[in-house]
Amino acid sequence: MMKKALSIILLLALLVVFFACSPAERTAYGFSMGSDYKVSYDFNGDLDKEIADLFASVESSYSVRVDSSVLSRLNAAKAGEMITLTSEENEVLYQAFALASATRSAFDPAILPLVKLWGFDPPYEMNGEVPPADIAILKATILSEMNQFTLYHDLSIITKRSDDAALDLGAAIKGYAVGRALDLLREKGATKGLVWLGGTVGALGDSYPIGVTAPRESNQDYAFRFTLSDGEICATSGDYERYYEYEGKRYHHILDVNTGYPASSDVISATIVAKDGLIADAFATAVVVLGVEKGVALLEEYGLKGALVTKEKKVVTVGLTVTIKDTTYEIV
Amino acid sequence: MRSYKPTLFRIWDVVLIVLLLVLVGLTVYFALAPSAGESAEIYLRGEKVATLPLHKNGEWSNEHIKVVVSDGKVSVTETDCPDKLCQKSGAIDQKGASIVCLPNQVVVKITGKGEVEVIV
Repeated sequence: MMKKALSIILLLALLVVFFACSPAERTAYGFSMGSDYKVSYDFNGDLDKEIADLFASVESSYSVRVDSSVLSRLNAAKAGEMITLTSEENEVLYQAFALASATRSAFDPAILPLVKLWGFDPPYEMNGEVPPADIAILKATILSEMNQFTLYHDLSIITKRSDDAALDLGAAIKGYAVGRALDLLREKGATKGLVWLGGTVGALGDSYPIGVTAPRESNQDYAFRFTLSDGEICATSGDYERYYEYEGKRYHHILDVNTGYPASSDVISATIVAKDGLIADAFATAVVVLGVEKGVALLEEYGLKGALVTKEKKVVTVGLTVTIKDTTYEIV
Repeated sequence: MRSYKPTLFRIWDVVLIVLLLVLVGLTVYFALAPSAGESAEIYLRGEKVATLPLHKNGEWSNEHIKVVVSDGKVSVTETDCPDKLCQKSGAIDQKGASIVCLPNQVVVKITGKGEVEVIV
């Protein structure tokens, strides 16, 4: 009798162990901020709605394509008009200003007038675009400098100097949203999570292998991989994402406000790993603009990790271990 | 000769052993063979609408877009969206890769075995 009871108890224990081994992984899918998102997480419950609401709220605050967003209101405002910020908007903009300054405007949230002039604003049709005239570029460059804006951080107010100056955090807000999603998962008690929003990725509670696209190939295979650890966010920028060709020359969407033209550095793709998503996204763009020498110096100065791909298919790493898959690439 | 009644296995022992074997088998199955093969998952507005195995030709379409599996790769072959970025993405077969059509809210993702979780 004892033996029978013992057997049953043992069996039940084994069943518990067996089913406990297969985690209750859930995945939320959707679209936000002009990209698709996929959030996988281990949690005894459903956070899909919270995740969708979070992304929708970031989009409604910061998207220049949502008329009521703080950026749309600022962009539609007249010179000198005061736009009042919520405490969150105040902090996000403060960080964006700091990042523009830290990267010597290689990351420039005020670049929208130039982006529009070059035709890289939505809907990204890229058919028959013609590079703008030099004089128009010069005018737009002046409008696209961060000094067009003044943030009164203590007062939570922002103003601008020209009617036509415009802010766009499109290059960095996805990183911010991924960071917020990791915070949400952590606060709710999810044990593991992988957040993807349009190519910006965040890891929670585990390490994940991430492949980085070969910039000039079209088959979407990856050139090399690295490991994204718990609490880290990676963002990738590349000149291959949007571009057009005119008279045999290639014009891509990552513009350098210091020249008014598409960045012409030796870096064609930069993947940056940071604890903060806004930083990862902003630096990824900045490093493509700056090139290897200045980019590496900047990453070292701020203690960030990254992998830069050059035109010659060399992979330059800063604090990151990468494994090459496509052997036409070479680690230097 | 003394009569010998076997006591090594009784009915509950047998039940336990059989169940244990089943559990071991299931564990090995799920641990070692998480996927029978790679496949392309198709999502429309965030909902999974189809799973196409890559080892055989197949397709999925609606009035806006057509997704085709051919020679072990998946691609968007027809779309009515303005930029056609999804079609320009070409054919994919690596786990973690995806094709996105924002105007039509369609995402194609490769799942299955692979060295990376996602491709950025």
